[in-house]
Amino acid sequence: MVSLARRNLFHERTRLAISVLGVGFAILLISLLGATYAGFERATGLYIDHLGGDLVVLQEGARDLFHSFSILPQNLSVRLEGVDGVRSAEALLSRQTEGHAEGGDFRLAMVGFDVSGGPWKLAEGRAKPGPGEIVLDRVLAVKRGLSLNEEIHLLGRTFRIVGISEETNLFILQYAFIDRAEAEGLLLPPGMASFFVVRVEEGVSPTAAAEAIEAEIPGVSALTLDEFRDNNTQVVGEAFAPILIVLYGTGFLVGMMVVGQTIYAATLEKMREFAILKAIGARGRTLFSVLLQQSLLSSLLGFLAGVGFTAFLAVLIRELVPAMPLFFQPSQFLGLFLAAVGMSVAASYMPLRRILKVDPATVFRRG
Amino acid sequence: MAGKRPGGVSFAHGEKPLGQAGASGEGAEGALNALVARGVTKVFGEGPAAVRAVDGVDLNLARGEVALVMGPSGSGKTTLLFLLGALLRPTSGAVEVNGAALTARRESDLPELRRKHFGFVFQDFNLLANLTALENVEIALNLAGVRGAEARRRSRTLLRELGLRRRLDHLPETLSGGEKQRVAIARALANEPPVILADEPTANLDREHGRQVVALLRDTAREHGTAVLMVSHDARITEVADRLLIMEDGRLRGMGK
Repeated sequence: MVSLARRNLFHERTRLAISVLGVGFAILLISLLGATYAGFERATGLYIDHLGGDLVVLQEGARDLFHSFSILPQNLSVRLEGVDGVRSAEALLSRQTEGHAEGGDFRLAMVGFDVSGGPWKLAEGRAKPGPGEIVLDRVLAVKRGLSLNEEIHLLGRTFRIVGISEETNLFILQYAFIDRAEAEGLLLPPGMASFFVVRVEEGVSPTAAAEAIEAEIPGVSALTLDEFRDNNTQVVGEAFAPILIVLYGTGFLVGMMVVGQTIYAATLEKMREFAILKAIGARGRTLFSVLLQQSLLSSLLGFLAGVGFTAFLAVLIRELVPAMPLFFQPSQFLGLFLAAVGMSVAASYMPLRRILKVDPATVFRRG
Repeated sequence: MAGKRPGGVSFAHGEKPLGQAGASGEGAEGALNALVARGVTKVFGEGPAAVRAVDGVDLNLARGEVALVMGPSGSGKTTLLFLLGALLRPTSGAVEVNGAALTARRESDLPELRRKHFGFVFQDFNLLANLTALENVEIALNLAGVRGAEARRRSRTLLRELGLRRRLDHLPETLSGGEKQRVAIARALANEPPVILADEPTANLDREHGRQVVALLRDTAREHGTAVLMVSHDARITEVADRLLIMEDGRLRGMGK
């Protein structure tokens, strides 16, 4: 069919531009919100994904790294390795603390490690710190103007930066890594650990090993890595989800209103032409098709504009606010595309009601 | 263009077609009438404020016939056109086109009926402003299910025959009044309807263009067997009309040929 929708839409370029911009900004809002949430969730889970073991053993009742406290004796590793199906158990020490440097003060999620539980991706330097050495996250380093071989102070000690890590940023604080021996007596009392990373024997199910550990050793919780990750990311979801839902909804409504306003105004302007179409035999569904095409085109152009704005802003944010953990996924853009389509369909409802009521006899003069 | 007899539609509820032998009224002898109206009445409003815009109109319009309805403003001419073209529902009475009863049909069936049986020519041309001359004709074919190259070919042929070969890609705003009306006539003819209804087709045209448009409508009637019913104040049209009808206070009377 002759593309009446396209012609009508592109005839009023200013109005189309306004509509595209409106939808574009709505898409930008939704995509940045989604990327921020996904970034938080991913950042929270990344460390756990790179722990390198099969299970995490914590003090009974502790569920995650940041909102529950866990302290266990380091020699528990001997008992853990004595459980059927367990190959090795390695102690890690962790604690949130404050650090100081010339650039200012900052919060750190400290980790004292030996083999497992250290940084997995480096921007500079080396991953394994020795005595008096520390590996810092790149985002923190950039924020505070810190670089290799400079010093920071924490808990009354001075550490020299020997590595800058990637993917260890949690937005409000960043991971920092020191040698486990250095962490003893500093992060926790001597001989104590926060949790253990456990490796199981080949062919042994982690779930079965976790059950065996809990059965044999009272006072501990043994979690698979998936369970441990879920516990940590759940905290992010619980904190952010209600706000996100409201903001997503707001973004969607804004986009829908902008498209709706454009299409409604265009429909009113073209009411006579819709009446002509009815007079020469167009059915309601044909008119709806014209309207929907206009609406869809408008939304899709807005979607493309929104993707463009997002790409531009993502680069800008990474430069200006490096701590912000934006993470974009293909599925998110599919969701945005569907949101744009949804906006079109919803926005077509009111104009369609007007068109279906229009009396084609109005195209004639009254004689 | 080769002439073609438009096909009829099956009758609703076993009704005898009004246009066959046995019904009273004027029309070509022995021929099935293209358009038949019996006792068509339209009342607007209720009670003391009710207005009888059309009052018991009977009309037979034969194929190939050109009829002109004249009358003072407010006499009900345009309302009659609405009723005959299924743009308005009569309060009472019946309308048949090519043997198909319009008044018995559901509201949702009327757009298709208008598309199949009627071509409309309006005083204000009523072309779609953002479509070219060619596309304005093409869209009428699209609505009838003719698409793509076939729709474009037929539209092009019609417009060329109406002398608009060099205007196919022009938007209505760049066409003269006469050219716009010719595009409108082409659109009205696109689906080869049995009846063309024209409301003041020459009102916004100068003398020469008005004459051309009227001649076109007459030639269409002759060559394609299309029944043409025009409503007009223009006395020039009487020259081409086979029959003159006068509308006064909602009533129609014939003035002969």
